[in-house]
Amino acid sequence: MSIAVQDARALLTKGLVAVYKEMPKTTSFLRSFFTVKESMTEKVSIEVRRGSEKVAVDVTRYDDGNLNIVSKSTEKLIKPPMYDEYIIANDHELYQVAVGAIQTGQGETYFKQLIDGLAEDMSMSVDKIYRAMEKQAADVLETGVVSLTNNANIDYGRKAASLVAYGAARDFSIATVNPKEVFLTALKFIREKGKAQGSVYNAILGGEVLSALFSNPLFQAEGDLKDWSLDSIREPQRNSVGGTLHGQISVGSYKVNLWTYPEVYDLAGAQVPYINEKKMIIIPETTNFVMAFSAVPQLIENGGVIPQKGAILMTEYFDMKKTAHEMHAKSCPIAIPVAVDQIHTTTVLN
Amino acid sequence: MSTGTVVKDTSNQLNINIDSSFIFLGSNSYERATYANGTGSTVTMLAGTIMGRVSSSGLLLPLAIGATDGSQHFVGVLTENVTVINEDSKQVSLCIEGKVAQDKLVFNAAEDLESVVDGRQLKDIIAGQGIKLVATDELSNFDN
Repeated sequence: MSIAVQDARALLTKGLVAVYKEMPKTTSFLRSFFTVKESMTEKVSIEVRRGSEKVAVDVTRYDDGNLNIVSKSTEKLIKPPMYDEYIIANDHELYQVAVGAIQTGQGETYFKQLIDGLAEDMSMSVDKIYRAMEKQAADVLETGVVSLTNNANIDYGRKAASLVAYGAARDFSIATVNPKEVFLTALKFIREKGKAQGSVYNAILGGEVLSALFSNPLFQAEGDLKDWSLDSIREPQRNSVGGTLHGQISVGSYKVNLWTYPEVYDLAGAQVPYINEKKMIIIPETTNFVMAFSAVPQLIENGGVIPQKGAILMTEYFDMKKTAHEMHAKSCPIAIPVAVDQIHTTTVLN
Repeated sequence: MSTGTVVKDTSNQLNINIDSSFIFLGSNSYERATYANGTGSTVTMLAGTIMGRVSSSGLLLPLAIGATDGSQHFVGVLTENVTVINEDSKQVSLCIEGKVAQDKLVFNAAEDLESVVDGRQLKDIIAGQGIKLVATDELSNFDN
């Protein structure tokens, strides 16, 4: 192998004045609707018993009464996909420098720089896993199917009525379409089929959907009503997990927070938004979704190290013969919509 | 008796619908009797099947209102799923008294509770034997 170019840095003829490391952090807006549950098992499961809203029928005084039974439920077992991202520590540009510097008295300085560098590299690897989790959450909210590459997709079987395809009658960019009727259809589904009972809902809009909504004349006209205060559209406010709140509107008997999520991930050189630009997703303010983490395969080591549970498991492997020092970040997450009918997705634009 | 039905089975996902409802709801009495399979093929009878008895042999058969061998008369409700291969016989358990979930009854063919045997509807015949048919209202359901 030839000598690396950076080994010939001319420190006396130039001065390094700034370094820019492009390290976009992963935001967690979509994951924030999912409660974290960690387990030490290979699989995770949920048990769901769907309910009803039946009404008692009156009986005569000389009647045995109506016998009610609660006997049906569904158990869903899931083996979460595993993510395993790693770096080779001894390939880091400072690794051999630090080894060489041990004899020079500057070893500690280089060693600190090496540790910082490795931590940055691992952080970027871990961010890939967090993006995979965020995409899982996006998949659940958009289609109900967690799309995987090397495992079978995990399909939560969302009802067809919760996945509304494009139709001109729901296109916010058409002046005669009243967007609030489209919102109301979604809210009625979540209330009637999903049995959600809150009064406040979150709508996560694709960027183009937000623009079409704000440009819609019927939506604008309702905002102009004198002495009525149905809607409150404000300047965008980004929250700590990356979502942007645009205000709150009233729809029928409900209030709806309008959110966008202008975050993207890289796919084959293109930047893909987590939330489809042409779609609108509505969920209750208080969700019943889980981000579950099953156990990463581990061994009980000789030193008595006990296998760990958690979102991300960091491990190091040393192979003295091959002079290899690998650092791995592993995780087995799965986004689960426990109350699967409390999500409604509409393709608003064509 | 709980039953589980697999509704989705992939390499990383298994969905099972679980039904823990009961057929026999209380104050039940049971008796044992013999079913002999002479149909020429394996027979599977489900729990809840209403049974009759052949007068000449004393053997059980699923109740058939058109029969004339005695099996048109109700004797009890089968308590468990039973599979009997051809030309084999098996002791089975029948519920002969107490509360029984009406919607769990299994009929042989075209019979129902309004079917008439010797001028009486089946529901009256069953009630006359001490079985109280109870309608149930299921308040739960399976997930998607």
